[in-house]
Amino acid sequence: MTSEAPTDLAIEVRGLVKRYRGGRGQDELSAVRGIDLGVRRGEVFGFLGPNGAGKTTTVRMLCTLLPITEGHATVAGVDVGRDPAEVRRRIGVALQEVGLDARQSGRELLELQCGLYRIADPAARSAELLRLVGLEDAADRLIGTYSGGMKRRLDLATALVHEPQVLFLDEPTTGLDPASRLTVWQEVRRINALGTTVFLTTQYLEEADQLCDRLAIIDDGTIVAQGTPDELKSELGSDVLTIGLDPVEHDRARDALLTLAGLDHVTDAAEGLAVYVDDAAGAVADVVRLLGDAGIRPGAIALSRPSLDDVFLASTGRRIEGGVPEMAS
Amino acid sequence: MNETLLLARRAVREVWRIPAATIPALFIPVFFLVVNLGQVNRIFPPSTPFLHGQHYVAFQIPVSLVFAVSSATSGLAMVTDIDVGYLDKLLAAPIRRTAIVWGRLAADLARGIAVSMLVLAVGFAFGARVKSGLVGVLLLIALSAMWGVAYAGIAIAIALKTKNVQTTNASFIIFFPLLFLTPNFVPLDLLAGPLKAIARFNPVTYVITGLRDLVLFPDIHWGSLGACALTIALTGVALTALSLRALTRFSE
Repeated sequence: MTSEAPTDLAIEVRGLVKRYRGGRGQDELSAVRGIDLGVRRGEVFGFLGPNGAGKTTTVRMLCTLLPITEGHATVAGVDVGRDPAEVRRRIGVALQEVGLDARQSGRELLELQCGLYRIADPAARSAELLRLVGLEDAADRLIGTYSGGMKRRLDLATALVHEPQVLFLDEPTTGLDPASRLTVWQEVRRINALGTTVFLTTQYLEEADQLCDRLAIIDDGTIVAQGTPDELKSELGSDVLTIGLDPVEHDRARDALLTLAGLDHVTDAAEGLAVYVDDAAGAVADVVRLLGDAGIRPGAIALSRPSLDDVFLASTGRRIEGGVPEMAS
Repeated sequence: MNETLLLARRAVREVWRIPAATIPALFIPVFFLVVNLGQVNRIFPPSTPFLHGQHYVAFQIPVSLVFAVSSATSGLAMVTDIDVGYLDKLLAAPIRRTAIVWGRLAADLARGIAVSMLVLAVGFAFGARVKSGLVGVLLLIALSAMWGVAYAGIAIAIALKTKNVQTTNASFIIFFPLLFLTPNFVPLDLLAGPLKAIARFNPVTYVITGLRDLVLFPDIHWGSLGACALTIALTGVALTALSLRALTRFSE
């Protein structure tokens, strides 16, 4: 008997908390601080955040690999705390650390995995999966001889042997070269097209933007934003003008731009300033004029829509990559 | 196929594919056997009362057998599974978690049988004979292999608790005092007072004595054989329970 509840959500999380005991004389460490999530059936849901934000801890709790300290979670309609065995039957898991036994061949490992999930014909299912992930030629080689990309594809295949309802992918492209990353993206799209809900953690903004129907941004164990990538970016309500400037002129330039029509805020960028403004195209001439009046000659000016990094910045005051702090608004 | 058998097949395949994990464990006991014989053979000729007409090598074979099968190999394999994330994959699968430990112990059984046969072959080459015949040989192999299974639990438990190679390897070092605080060179009655007292409490004493009686006597000594089997069973229950408990607590 399972504790299944009818719901349109593949994953439902309420007030999820994970605390670890501290070492001698140390306080408890809160890795996840009461998060709420709702992942719809059939979508690719992204869980975006920097290293140490709580992504992997959350995934491990949802996959039954870590006990939940507080809160409630259901996965594929089953209560994680009450019926972890049934959750395991319904999910596939490919964690950040590629979970493969280097001393077996790809085929042996897949057939073993099929056996553990009681697949009727392990040999046939393994052959089918090897074909799907393009590893037929390497199937009988020891996994220790595989490249990083091949291992990641085989790891994906092992997570799919039983056609899971929900697939958890924890940073599936970390450490891969760009070509292998694209291959994994194609795999994720293909798996999702077959109806599998995908819960994907990533620290890569482009990956979240490209793959995810909706996403949540987590920072320091707390969800700071949630929605579709377009919704999140639209909520910023601004275009971005990136202006190349000499670093010594940043403060003067920021002061000069305070009177810019439609200005939302200004932050430091890699080689100048990022100016968030309602209509960037219409503001270019005014920016050049205001800077000129202050005796400043700008370098290259680039116009862009807000990125997920801007969403992260707006939500946390920090960049997800590069750690450039917000300087002014 | 049952999940325990599937994981056992994987572990046995691993033993076969990585002889480097087994051969060093075999080398040290054989080395000790040869060195001991070189040093002691003339002191204890076959006419020595406690040798019952056999060469001293026959007296030493049980020590080498126990030494050879008491390894940390399964614990080290478990650390590797933890390091590469494969244990997480098994823990996320809908299987009984105990199957993960049983699978490893099955590999210890296979390794124990192979290693015991090799040690016996070396002993035979040096002139030892198993006086209790074929039944005795089979019992020696079976009991030695079962001792290997029983003792493997401690390395698996340490591996799951510490996730550390060096600490797991230390379970092999723990075995040294256990092996040498026994009647390994001479019978229990000839040991000096304090050592004799310690040896009486050391479970390895009863394993060695039971195996040794199979080598030295033509008839089965049921008392020593029973004590040997009971010691192996109790050790196995205790250490396997320890490893299963460590697995249950692994994720906490």
